[in-house]
Amino acid sequence: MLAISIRSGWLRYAHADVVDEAIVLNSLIATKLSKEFHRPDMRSVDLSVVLGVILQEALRACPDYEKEISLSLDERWVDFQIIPVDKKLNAEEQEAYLNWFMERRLGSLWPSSSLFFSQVESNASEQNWVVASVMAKNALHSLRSFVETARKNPVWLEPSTLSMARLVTTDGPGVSFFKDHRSVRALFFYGGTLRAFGYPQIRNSQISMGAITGDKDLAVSIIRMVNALQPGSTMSSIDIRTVGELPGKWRAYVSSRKRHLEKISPISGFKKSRRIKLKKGTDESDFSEVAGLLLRSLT
Amino acid sequence: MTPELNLFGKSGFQDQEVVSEFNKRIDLAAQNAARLKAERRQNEEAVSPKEESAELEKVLQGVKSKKKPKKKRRKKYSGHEIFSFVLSSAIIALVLWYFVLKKSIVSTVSEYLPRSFEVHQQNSDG
Repeated sequence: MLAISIRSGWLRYAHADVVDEAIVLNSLIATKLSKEFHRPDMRSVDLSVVLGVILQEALRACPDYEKEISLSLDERWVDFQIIPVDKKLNAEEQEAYLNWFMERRLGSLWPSSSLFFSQVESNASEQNWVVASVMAKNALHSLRSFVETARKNPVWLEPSTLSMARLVTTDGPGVSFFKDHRSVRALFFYGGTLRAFGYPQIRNSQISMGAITGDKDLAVSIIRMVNALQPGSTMSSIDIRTVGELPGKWRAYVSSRKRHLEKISPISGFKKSRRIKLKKGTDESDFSEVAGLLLRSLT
Repeated sequence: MTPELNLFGKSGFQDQEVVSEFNKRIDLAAQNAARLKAERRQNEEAVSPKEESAELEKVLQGVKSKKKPKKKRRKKYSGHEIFSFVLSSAIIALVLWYFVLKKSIVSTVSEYLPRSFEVHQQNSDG
């Protein structure tokens, strides 16, 4: 399986085999994309050319026998949200509501967009939660046809947040902080499901949330619990996980609360083949989405 | 369980059936890939002499014990080749004989003229 991720201007990919229910990594590569590819125009006619330039390196590195391609794209490519829906509505009504909601939100872009929804298990919540993803039809078509032209099978495409979530899902209430270039991304979990995400900030060892997508109340209450933790305290009722070395002021926070934090290394659970060679300066913790995609093949 | 969403799948609501259908497809593809790999590995193992299976060894032993059937010896030269060789040799011999031997005979004859011939010569002179 070839797992490809595009996030924050980086192309990361890994080729792996599943041997005896274990993932064996054959390659693990990260390449910085040139600035013109950081925010491509999803509705441009030339998008397939842009995709070709970006992805050809990964496809060339893929052995001929490998046909499965899985992709994870960040919010520059795929819009991703967690939307509340009234519990009283049945499945058809929910879909009609979501379509209406998205139509209003997208406006003139609505006709050229493809929408995808999936129900989140939300028994304990007062509302139903639905994950919703929007991608330009043109981008989706270009991506699919490019992969097929390369004689590969486009198996899976998901927003990067879902790939990351697969890596750090916790059963109880919990939050996972991911290093995302120079910022930090927080994913909030409850009952084993992703319920909210956003970009937190830190000042004087106090975390605050800016924009939150999903169950805002849950995210705020979890952050409040995290802030209440003192460096010397031993009790903690929430799972706090970090992926990668968090930048800037987060470093001091992480070092003072080591006992409460669990450091997750995305590819530590995978076997590495002998021929694997990592470029100098490659940070393995940046391969969260790639690891998430690979974990999918085990489920 | 983390919600699954496949943008290569059906647009709209992706219930678990759709996702599981894709999972099945992935599993099937993975199984095929694993099978192909195993086959390739088996072929590679068959090539390496150290890891030959017992059955293969038996078969090979059986082959070794059997006497190789004698190859039919091919005749080096066919009849018409020998005939043409003899003929050409004869021609060469005749040519040699003509140029070398016949000349010596002629010269011998000219040196030692027979007596009858001498008489005939005298008669003609007179």
